[in-house]
Amino acid sequence: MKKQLIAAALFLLFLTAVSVSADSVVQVTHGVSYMCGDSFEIIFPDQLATASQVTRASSVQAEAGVDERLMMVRISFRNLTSSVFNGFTSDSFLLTGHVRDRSMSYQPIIFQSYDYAYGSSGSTVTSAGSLIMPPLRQEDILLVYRVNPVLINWELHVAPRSASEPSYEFENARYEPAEIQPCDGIFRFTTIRNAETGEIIYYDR
Amino acid sequence: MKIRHCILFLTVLFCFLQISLPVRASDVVLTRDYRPPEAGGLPDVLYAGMPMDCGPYQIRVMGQPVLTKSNNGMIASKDMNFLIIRIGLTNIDDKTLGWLLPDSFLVEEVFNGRVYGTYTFNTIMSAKAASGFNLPAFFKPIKPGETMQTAIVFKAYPGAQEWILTFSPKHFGDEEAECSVRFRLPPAVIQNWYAMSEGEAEE
Repeated sequence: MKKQLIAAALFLLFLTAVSVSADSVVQVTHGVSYMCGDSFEIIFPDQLATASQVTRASSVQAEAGVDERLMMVRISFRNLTSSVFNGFTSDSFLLTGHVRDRSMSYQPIIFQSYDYAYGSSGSTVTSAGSLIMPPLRQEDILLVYRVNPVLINWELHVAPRSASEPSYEFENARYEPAEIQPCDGIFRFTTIRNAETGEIIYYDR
Repeated sequence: MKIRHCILFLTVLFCFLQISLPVRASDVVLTRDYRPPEAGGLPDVLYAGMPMDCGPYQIRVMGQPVLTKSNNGMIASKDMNFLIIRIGLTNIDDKTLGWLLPDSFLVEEVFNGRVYGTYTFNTIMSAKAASGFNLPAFFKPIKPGETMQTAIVFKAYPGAQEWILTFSPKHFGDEEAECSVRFRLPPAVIQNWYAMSEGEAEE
């Protein structure tokens, strides 16, 4: 009888563990819109891509060193909190890669408006700290990371946090502070495109 | 006995987690599956033509509001638009009502059932819009039984799904409005959604 009860308890614990882990990560399909908490709507319009060089607005913005690749992530996100984000912290968009039990984490070396290369009037964002984002605004951003290409199972940890104290006034609008479930999401990518050759690498965990 | 208690405790804990986790662990969900938390507190829609009384006034929305980048030759700056609302104000009192002050009107933006920004009335743009419709500006006395049609304008970000208008009529010398009504507007018609390119006129 005791053994049966213990087995039942262990089974329940197993189910609980499964239900916890199954919901915490999402596998990305590009072009699909996701809600992160109640506070950010996120889309990855393109596949993740790697390159050896990133050229924007007619100038080389970054070059990969020996045994390095530049990982490019295009992310479009809308602020659904009720506060004005005054820049983002460097940990707001962390990319991680894994090999066996080792995990590496990277901060973006480029954080720019996606249309920056075309010189559009709206493309004034040149760093995470310079992006001021009032409620309901949507931004299309290119993130570039300098990564070790040997790693696999790429994940993007998105936890947008204001670099300085968020404000509640912008232009002629006034916002009221509200308790909203923050965005703390992990987006897993199973395909990565080589921007130079067009080859697509599939990762199956 | 102790083991039974332990099992009972674990079972209760498991049931609690099963109930609470789908809510708590839904950090990321497809937007189409997202159900916004019950916000509540949103007022009813005042459909076009329906009257609503507020003290000596009766207010009507005279059609769908319009969200537009331009208003009678003026362009809204940055990523803002003009929210233009045509209203009718009827004097249901027996004496003439004086000019309304600009802070008699406020709009709030609503997205996913939640109120975000509150925008103040734009006096100059309201007068420009009224002139474009060949209507009097909002600062005009209204005689008993008379209806004044006018346009009111707010410079607002055009990302909201719905709009709420608050009408609290105030006159010169009034410290507080004697009444206040708050209602959702009919769905806005969106024009000129795309942002203007650099070099164009700004408000």
